[in-house]
Amino acid sequence: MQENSSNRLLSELMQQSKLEMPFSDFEETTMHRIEQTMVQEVTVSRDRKLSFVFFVLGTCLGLVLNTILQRSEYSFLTLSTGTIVLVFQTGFILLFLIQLDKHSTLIKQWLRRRQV
Amino acid sequence: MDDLYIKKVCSGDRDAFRYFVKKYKDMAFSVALSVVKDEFVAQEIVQDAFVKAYRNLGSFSNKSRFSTWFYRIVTNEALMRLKKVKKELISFTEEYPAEIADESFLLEIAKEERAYLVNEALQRLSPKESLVLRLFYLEEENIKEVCEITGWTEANTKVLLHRARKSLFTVLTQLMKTQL
Repeated sequence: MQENSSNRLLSELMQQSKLEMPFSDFEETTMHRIEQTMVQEVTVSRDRKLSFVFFVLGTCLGLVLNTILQRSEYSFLTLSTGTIVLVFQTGFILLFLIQLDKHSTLIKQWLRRRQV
Repeated sequence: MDDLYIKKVCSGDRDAFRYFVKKYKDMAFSVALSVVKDEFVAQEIVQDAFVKAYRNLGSFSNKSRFSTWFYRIVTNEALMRLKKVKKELISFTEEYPAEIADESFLLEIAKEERAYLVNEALQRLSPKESLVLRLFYLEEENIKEVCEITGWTEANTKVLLHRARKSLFTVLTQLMKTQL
């Protein structure tokens, strides 16, 4: 019985103590932020697509160059074709792995942002 | 009414989202403030929650009410922010003595003072206790809804609510003593 009355009192008290947003410009700043976020999102999405396209193009170009280098009988200073191909392949693989890591981070971030 | 505005926003009317900002900003602010206890941080949390809600409105299914879904976002944001702050600060949680509180004194004071005292007391409670009180008493006193918003079990929520009520009256008694 007593618990019921204190419950009623608490309910009344909580209703009376409702808070109001003390920042008068809140509505405007929130709408402005939403607008900015959406604009930014469109730009980021376009950049992400572009970076993926260039990643694929770069990989293809690297593979083509690698094949051409392997077939050619070209030497630079005292370096033989085999050495040049090896240096190129090492650089190519390193670059490929770094870019792949960056892309996977981007994709993970994008997926995380899509979840609430 | 919410459904109509959800459809409007989803069909590209960005300004229709203003309706949700207007309608839910105060309650969202109360919820965020009960967790983080700082007006500026609470404002940031509510703003982040609105942005998140806007971006994910398309994935909102009508299984629950918009308010429940939105308060869940606010609660998660606030608890995440609290976790972050707790890593940086050493928190001191006040322990209140188990004093039997007589709440009848609250009826004797003016309405404005009562509201001030309750808000002050809520600021002094632990984040979970003040959160459960805010959600329960401002959202039609529905335990299931509180569980849906916070992700706690029903038993856990009931225990927390009972403890929170006791703590609130104890803090109110102490506040009254210091004010007199």
